[in-house]
Amino acid sequence: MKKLLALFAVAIMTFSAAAQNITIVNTGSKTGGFYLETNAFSQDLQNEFKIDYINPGQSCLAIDIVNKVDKNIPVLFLWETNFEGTARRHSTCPVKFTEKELIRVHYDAFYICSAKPEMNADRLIAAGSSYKIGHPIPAGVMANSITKGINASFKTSHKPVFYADGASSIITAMLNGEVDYGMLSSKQAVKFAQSGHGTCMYRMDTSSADTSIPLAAKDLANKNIRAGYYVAFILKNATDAQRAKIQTAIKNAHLNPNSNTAKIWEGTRVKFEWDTKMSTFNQEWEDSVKSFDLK
Amino acid sequence: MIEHLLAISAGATVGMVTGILPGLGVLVAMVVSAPFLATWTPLDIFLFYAALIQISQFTGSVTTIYTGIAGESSSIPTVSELPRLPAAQFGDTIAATAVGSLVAAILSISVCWILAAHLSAMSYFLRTELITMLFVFALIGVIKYSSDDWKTSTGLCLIGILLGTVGYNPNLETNILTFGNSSLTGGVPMDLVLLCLFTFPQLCRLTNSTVTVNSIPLSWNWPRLNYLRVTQYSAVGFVGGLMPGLAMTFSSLLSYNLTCRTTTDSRERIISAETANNAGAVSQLIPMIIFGLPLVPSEAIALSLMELKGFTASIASAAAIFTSTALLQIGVAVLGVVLAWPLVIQILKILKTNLILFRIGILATLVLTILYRSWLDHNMVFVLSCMACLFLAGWTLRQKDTTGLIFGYLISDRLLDYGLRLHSLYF
Repeated sequence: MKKLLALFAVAIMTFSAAAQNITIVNTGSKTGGFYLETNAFSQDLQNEFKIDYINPGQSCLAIDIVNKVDKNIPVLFLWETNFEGTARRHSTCPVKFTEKELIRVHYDAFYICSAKPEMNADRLIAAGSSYKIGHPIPAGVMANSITKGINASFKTSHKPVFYADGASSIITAMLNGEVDYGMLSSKQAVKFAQSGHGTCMYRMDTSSADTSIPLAAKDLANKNIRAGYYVAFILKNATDAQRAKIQTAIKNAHLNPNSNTAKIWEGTRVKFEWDTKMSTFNQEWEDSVKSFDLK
Repeated sequence: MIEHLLAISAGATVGMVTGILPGLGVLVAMVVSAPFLATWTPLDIFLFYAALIQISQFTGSVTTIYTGIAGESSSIPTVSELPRLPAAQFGDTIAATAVGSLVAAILSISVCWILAAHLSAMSYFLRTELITMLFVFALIGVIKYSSDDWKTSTGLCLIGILLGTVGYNPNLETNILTFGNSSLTGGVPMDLVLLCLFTFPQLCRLTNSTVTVNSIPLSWNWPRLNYLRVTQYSAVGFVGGLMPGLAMTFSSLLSYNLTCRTTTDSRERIISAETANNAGAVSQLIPMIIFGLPLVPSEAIALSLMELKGFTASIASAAAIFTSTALLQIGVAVLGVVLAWPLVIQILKILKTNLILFRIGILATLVLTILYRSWLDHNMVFVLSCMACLFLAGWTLRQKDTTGLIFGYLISDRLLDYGLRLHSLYF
């Protein structure tokens, strides 16, 4: 009996040791895209790790929490160049990270879509054309990609129209005819196209992995046409072994088509980098941050 | 089928608790339920959410009328009108609002069912100019029909708008009245504003009210209702439910404001508000399943859970959902009317024990819920500071009708957003 109890105790201790602690902090809004993603991989990772999920709903408050977490407990969060640009502009909560702390990086470019069949790719860049283009936050940066980007390069006079509620409001505005075109993130663009309500013709970048046309490739000299942001998965307080284990777990969740994480990105052609070198990435990150740091 | 019934039962139970306990709110209910719903199918999550919001509107009406406390913002018109309702009419009003709500729910579900394939036309109701017009109309109505004089109610509306603008404004890309406090960049928390500046002053006022639970006889007779008017309230509520950010709250406010123009009868005004929010509870689901547009935060959680399970919003998926769930949703509405009328006596037994103690209990529950959530979010100091300031303000305003203040707070960001957008669209 004693042996059985001892075995049971050892089994419990082994199990407890295997369930390593991680704190996951959502730096985005309580119900937005970052919440969706952090919540998805919290669920995917819960069999391997003991997860403490914190969802404060505000980026600077989240960073404050990240900094206060016990230094022996790995803390994972997402940070994007949009947040960093805003944080630097208002001197609130800029984030610094090292190569070792980077778990995953991706660049999410915006797409230009329309619900009107007559609003095709050619009409958008036809010299002299003037249409209303709905765009999300941050208002100034996104408006710049239209006025200083598209208008300047293609001699058009499109009008940017700002939607604070984000993609769903832009889609509605396209459907009810309030705007002619709309700027959507890759995830939203895929959903919009799949729903059969319209088409997405341009990717606002220099390259494209899908059937959309890379708009920024038409005028490489004008960097304003490029609209998008880098998103970094940052893991703080982790040893090399912990980092390797957590990164592998997240990567496996990505590669498993039935995982919650994979479903978030289903249908998109976003390219994820898992072994980013700061020597090359730092400049790209800083350039993207500067585009959001409009003084 | 069994799992659908299970989803509905769970949604109805959570909705009943949410409605009975003011201040718990649909958002809190969804946040708490989310981990359990994560393994469900999209259709079951939808049914759970639809049952939750529908039943919470039924049972919420009961608690609001009997306690005078509005936990959900959609009950604000009822609480405002309650002091003018003769005590003898309370029982009949309960029955009338329950039946009116049932009619509204059935009408709205039927409309969605019949017109399922053409629901994308709803997007035309979401045009900026139409929404702005509705906002302004509702704002004028709130000021005009306040129990305070127009100067006081205008002032309170402006204070509400100012309070709502606190935080980082994505339109202007700047912090407003945050005084360098990073916690304030997310704005003054809505649950705190509702608790301290609406529920608390109402509670202070109602403690001295002559209306008590003991004096309310429950009416077992089929209530006297003008069904043409109920249809009108349902139609208004249905359109109001499509308002981004407010949904059912706007349904009841819009219907209440319209009814105030035509009648001074408090019973009719309450019926209009309580009927409309049930119609709004149905219509607010349409943008979510057609466009993937969540109108309120609780809906965003439901949608994100559905999307995690592979749901894609489209006309086809909306048509399929409404066609396959219409009868189940009507069943939920029938359950709602049973809970809110014949079974109301069971709820009254709880309330009759000690009304003042009950109100204090509710207030304590609300405070503790908010504090517990702030503890989970590592935000306790900020929430406590806000709570202290807002309770002080609530105490100062205890003799005022703070409906306008709350409404101003809720729409302030959108007023600015839509105003600037109208400018960029047409000038």
